[in-house]
Amino acid sequence: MSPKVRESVITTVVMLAVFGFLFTQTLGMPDSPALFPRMCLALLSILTVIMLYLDVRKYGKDHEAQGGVHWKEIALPLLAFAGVVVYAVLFDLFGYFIATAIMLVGFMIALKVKPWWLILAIIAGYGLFIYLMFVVWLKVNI
Amino acid sequence: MSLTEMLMGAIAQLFTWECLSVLIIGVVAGMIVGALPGLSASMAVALLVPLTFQMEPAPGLIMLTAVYTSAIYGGSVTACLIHTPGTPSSAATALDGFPLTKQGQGLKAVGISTISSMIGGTASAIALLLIAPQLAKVSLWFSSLEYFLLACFGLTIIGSMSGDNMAKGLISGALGLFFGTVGLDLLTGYPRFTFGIIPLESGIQLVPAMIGLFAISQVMVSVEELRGGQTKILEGNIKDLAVGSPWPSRKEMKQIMPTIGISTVLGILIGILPGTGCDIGSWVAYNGAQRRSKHPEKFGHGAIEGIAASESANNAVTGGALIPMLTLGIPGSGTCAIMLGGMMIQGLTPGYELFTKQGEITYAIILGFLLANILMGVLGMLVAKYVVRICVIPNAILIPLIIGLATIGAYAIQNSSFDVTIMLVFGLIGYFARKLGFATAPMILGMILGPMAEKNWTQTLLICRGDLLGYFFSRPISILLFVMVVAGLFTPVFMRFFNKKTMGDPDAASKED
Repeated sequence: MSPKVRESVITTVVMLAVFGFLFTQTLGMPDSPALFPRMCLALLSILTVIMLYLDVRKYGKDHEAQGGVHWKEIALPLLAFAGVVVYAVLFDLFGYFIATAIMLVGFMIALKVKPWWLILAIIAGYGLFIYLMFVVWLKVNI
Repeated sequence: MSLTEMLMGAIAQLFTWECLSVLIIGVVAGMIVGALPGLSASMAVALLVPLTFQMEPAPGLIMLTAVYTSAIYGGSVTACLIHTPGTPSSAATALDGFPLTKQGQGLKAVGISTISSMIGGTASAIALLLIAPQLAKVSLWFSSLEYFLLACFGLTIIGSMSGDNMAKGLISGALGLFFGTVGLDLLTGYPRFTFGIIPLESGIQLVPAMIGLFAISQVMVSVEELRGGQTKILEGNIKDLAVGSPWPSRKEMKQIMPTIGISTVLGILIGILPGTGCDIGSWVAYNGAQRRSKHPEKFGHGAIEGIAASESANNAVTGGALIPMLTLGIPGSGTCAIMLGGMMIQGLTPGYELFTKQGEITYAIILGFLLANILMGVLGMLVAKYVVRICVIPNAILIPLIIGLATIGAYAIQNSSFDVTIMLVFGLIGYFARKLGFATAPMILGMILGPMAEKNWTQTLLICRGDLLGYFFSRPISILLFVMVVAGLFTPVFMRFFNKKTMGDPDAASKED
């Protein structure tokens, strides 16, 4: 089995499991509100099986076909995503400006932005822009 | 008072310092707001309505209409340059604008987007001026069945948005439809898939979901590219980018003008239909342009017709949406609904009297809207060379700035941290969808059209009282729309069959390449 087909099988199993779980959620609903979601989930399940069939037909004999997800490639993006999650938590705790300053410094140092005065200038410029735009003009409570 | 007298009076009102200054402020503010991910035209208009209470009716409403049209345009700039549509209506623009930028033609992408937006917006303003009362009557013929079929017609677009893998595109669209069911059922009030989370009862907000799917997933892709050694959106220096002109060549203008013309007409017509909006207009036009194109395979890889179709249509929707609002009091889009509130507070009641007794004010607003579209185009072309420099900002700087802007954009819609969570969840979904080869744009389309389809289908079932077929056959527009839906569904299949017959198997060809 090529990595591409293996990836398709895993994707199909995960998706069908999620759709199955969501379908069980509709069992407790009255008929009317459950109708449209059930139709969507049934459609999704059929399409997922078709997707697997097409991938197997296309890549089944090609043992070299590579999938799109490789741990080496996605590790860093997932780490960056974790950083965004931490930023969202900080935003809730300390407000937008403090959280954003921490996030900007953290990301720019991690991504090797130099020199230090550039980082400070970006934070100051960005903060001023957001303050004028959102706080002064748009009256957003951040 | 005759029409000429009203127009002369309107021109006199428009060319005052107050009107012209709010017009310029409205255009510039709209462009900035539109370019910022998450800040939609409706949000900008909603926030500005209280400011207009202190103004005379004409300048107040001129400012609102100027913000409306230029915010729709502004969204295309970030869509083209950093794959982050500033507004949902520019999502289709990102499909071709960003690939064009990656090919080193960001300036051209912005230029085409600007020209198309200006032409679409200006033509819609002229339509508003000339044919408003006549065209507005069409919307009165539409019942829930027609709106349901219209939503179905919109969904047939997914077929052409799916890229190389139709099944994955359809899954993405169906997922969008499913996400649209989350929240309280409109008819019974029963909570669906909320899992006890109260903010989910009002459904998944489109804008945070869109920011997540496009902006956060793009951040993750950029981090991946950074690891692979790509330090900027576009490798090269600032001098290379500023070279050339945002103006398309004569050949390119010839190429895009028919697309702009058809998309503008489509946009105006879609705008007139209440409840549709700029996002639907841009997708329908994009789909149409791809179907008409001699090279549909170029769409999604930097086709200039794709940018022209999407941008001319979404700005044409703005004028179209104002037609039923001014003549019948039916807002053609969400933004118009907010504007309608501002208009009524000013003592302007939509209808016949607006074009007779209050004609001077009304025509001043319409002419102001026309001028705003032209000014938007001129300003857009003037700043294009500078705006395009965003492409050579190092990713290491751009990534955290996009995160900050996306977060504030998602939060500011309702001042809700929950919307930031929605953005994060959809960011992760978007990233893995892209990695696994699922197109993300159909998901957005499904989320826009799903609730519209479900609501109108339920209403139709109630109205027809069990005799759906009888009701359907009693309505000629429904039959016409049904034919369009069927044609929309099978056209991609026929086109593939036709292409295979005439050009051989494209898959086989690509393998040979």
